[in-house]
Amino acid sequence: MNKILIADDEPNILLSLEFLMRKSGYDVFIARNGSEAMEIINRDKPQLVVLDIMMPDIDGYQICSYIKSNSELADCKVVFLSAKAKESDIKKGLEIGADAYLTKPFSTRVLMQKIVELLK
Amino acid sequence: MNPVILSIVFVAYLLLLFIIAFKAEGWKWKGRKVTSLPMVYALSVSVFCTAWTFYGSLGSASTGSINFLAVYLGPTIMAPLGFLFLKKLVRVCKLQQITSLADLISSRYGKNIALGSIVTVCCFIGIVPYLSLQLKAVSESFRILCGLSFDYKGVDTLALVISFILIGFTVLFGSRKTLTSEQHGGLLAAVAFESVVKLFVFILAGLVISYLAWSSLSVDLSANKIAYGFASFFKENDTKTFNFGDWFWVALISGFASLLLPRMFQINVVENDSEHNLSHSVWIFPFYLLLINVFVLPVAYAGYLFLGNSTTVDYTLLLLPLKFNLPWLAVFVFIGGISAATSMVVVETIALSTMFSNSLVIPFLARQANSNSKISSIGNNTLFIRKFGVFFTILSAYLYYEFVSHYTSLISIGLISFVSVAQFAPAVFGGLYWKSGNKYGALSGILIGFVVWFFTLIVPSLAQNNILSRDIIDYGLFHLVWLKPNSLFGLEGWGSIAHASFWSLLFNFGCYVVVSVWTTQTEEEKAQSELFVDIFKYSEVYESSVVYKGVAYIPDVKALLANFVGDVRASNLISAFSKRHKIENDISAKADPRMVAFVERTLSGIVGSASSRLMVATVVKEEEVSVQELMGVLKESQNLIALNNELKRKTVELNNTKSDLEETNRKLIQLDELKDDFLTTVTHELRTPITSIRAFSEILYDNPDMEIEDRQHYTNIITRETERITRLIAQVLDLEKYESGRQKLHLTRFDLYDVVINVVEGMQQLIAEKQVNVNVAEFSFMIVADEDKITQVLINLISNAVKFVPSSSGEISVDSSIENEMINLVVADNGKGIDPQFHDLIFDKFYQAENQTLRKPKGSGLGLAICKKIMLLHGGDISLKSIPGQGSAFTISLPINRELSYE
Repeated sequence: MNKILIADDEPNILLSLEFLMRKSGYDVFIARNGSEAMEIINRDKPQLVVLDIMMPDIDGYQICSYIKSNSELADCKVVFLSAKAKESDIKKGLEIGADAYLTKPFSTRVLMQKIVELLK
Repeated sequence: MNPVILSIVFVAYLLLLFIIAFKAEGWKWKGRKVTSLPMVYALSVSVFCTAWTFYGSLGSASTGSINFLAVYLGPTIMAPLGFLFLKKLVRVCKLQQITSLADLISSRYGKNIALGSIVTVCCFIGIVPYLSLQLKAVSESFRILCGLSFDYKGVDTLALVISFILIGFTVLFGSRKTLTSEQHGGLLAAVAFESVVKLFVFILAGLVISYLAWSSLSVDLSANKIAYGFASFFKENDTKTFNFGDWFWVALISGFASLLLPRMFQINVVENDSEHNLSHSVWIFPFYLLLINVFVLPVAYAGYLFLGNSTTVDYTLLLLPLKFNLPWLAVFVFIGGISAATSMVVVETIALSTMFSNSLVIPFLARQANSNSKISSIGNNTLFIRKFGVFFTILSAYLYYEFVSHYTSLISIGLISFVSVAQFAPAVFGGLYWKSGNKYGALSGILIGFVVWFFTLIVPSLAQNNILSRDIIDYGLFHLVWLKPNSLFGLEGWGSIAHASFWSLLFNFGCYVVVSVWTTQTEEEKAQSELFVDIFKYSEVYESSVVYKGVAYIPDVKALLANFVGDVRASNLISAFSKRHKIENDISAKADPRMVAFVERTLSGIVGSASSRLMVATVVKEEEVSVQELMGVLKESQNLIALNNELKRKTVELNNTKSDLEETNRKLIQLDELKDDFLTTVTHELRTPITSIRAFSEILYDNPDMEIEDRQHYTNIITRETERITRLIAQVLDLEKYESGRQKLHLTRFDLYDVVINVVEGMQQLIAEKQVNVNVAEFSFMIVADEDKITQVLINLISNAVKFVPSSSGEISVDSSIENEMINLVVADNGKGIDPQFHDLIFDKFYQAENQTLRKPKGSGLGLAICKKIMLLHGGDISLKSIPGQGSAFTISLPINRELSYE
């Protein structure tokens, strides 16, 4: 069973995403901020991370860069899910190695489709 | 002392002066030429102090009490006024290339030859005895040191030898260059050096003599007796009681002399290469006078005690060291005396020889010269004429000393000279400050002043020595009682100097004013008087102004100049001038009027203004320029300058406007960026609830078979997120109101405590649900504020606190205090606290700036930004103290004593 980490500081978004992932049968981990996310990534080595960019301690870009530069996490896919919707933000996210970038508000169907694709 | 050794010392000292004079121009100090240092210049002004100061003050102090001080008081009091006068004088003389007092007066009054000649002759008559006094001082001090007799019979060969040495010295120093307006930098350095030597020697001798006299007195006299002796010294000497008239007149003519003596003119104007120098000499010179007089009285007293009533009181300074058996000190004093005498003789003679050649001989020759060949012969002989002037001046001084001085009293020769020089004061001061003063006024004033001077000061001494009949003194001229030289028109009670100064200056000044008013000026005079009096107005435009009307050709003009400065130099000067003023410099061209004026000025510096005018007239077919024309030209140039200044001012204004615009633009751009940041923030804040709403809506739609509880939970979330959006919109609108200044306060007077209690009660349900403990301290502060707004702030703070404290163990406290005229209200909690990096950010609505990726703590929204606006609008503030993990404390502050009428 694929492990998915969801990192966001907005409880309602976490709640909705958790519901969606569990329903699709993934093993779901939750992080409410950057440091929790880092802990889970290092400990549980999820196959995919859904990352918010703006979080109170460590931002999503830093976490993504960490994942992409760490050979132990070579299989880990990263999907940004952020309210930062400017083209420059998206470009930056993809440049540091994210596999997808979705802006908030997002379509649950598009997101799930993307995740299925990435974990194929 | 052995005369040979002393002669060697004398010659060696003169050699040292030579070395200084010839080498000083190459010396540097801190990167500046030594000869152009302001200090060197200021010291050279002390050439005012001659051997008469060096020896004579003591003689005077030993015989005539402290009246000698008036001679130094005058220049000191005059110094500040003199500063203003000299500034103007220097400007005038530099622009018009005036190099002597005679030339100054002649030039101001229409370049009049007669006036220049008369001033020159008067200067000679007044100054030659003064020069002879220096020769006498050198010769007699030499004799005293060598123990030779004063009562020599026949010719004083020593004085003759000294005279020839000084002639050689002066010729080498002063008349090497034709262009008198060029400074003799080396001379200045040598004179400054001599000033230092004479001051040093006087103070050294004063200290040593005072010390020795005091210690030898203390041995056998009690303090009382010394004091008694001092008192009797004064009593005995003070035969004439203090007389204000004497003091006033001596001080006045000394002040005039410090500005008008030919040697002072030479240093103040000719040798002065910058007006800036004057601001140094204005205080250094009086200070020097003070220092050199400090030891006069102690030494004079020592002389009274140890030398008795000697006939040689003048040489007290020289005799005391011999008495105390200190020959080395006597030699020092001798050198100090030579310094004082030689510097005076050299500078004075240079000044007099310039007058002699430029105002007496050359104008006479120039008047006869109607062709260039004759002018050329003048040019070739200028240096010779000047050297002859030196020779003639010093030799006259020697002859005076040898043949006349025995018949006249030497004691007040210095002051008699001063009075003679003071006769130029009305013409010079009037010339610089009064446009209507004219040549007839100047001429008659100077002449009558000199006649009175001669009659009141020279005639009595001639009569006393039986050269004239004594009847004049006793019964008056032509036996008219009111024509007695010592009490003219019956004036008695003053000393001879005060008496003579009063009458001569009165007649002089009176004639100058009355005759000037009665007679008219020529056009040339009018032009010169405009220029002199308003020199600061015209000095900028002077050089480029046309002062000539008429036709001249460049080759003629150049040839004229070449007679005096040589072909090469003349070509260089003319081409430099044409380049500077962008005028044609063609062999066949007519000379530009400005160039003719330039050549005349340059020649003025060599041969004086009157001669220069005459010579230029030989090459220019000239028509007289009216003063209106001249002033027209000057004013036009001035207008151009004014226009130029106006343009400069406009340019500056434009530049200012430009930078103002740039600044405004920068501010607008910044505002625009802030607006962008705000929009980003708001959209970001809106996206978050919308995201939740959309996600849950889709979930609910896609999962119709969901548990009823979950369904309700999710719908509830959607509702709350909608409320969040509504709140955010309200806040944005609210904030905008504060930003635009449209938000007004409705001030009332109320107790802050009541508001706190109301807010806490309103939140009671929330508090009870979370089981939080809220402590409100007892206080009472009446404030004047907008009650609704303050309530809004408190709701925000307290509800935030409730939100962030842990349930059941949450503690919130509200307390108030007064500090620095402010009422502080603190809302503290034991929640999780706020990271210090957000402490400032938390009140900022733009927390979501462009490149920011960290997020501020949740729940604050725009609420705290609005709180801050409210507090600022009340003249207060809001701040935060927080330690993460321990809790936060928000403080709002309000000024006390706010009046209700504020609204």
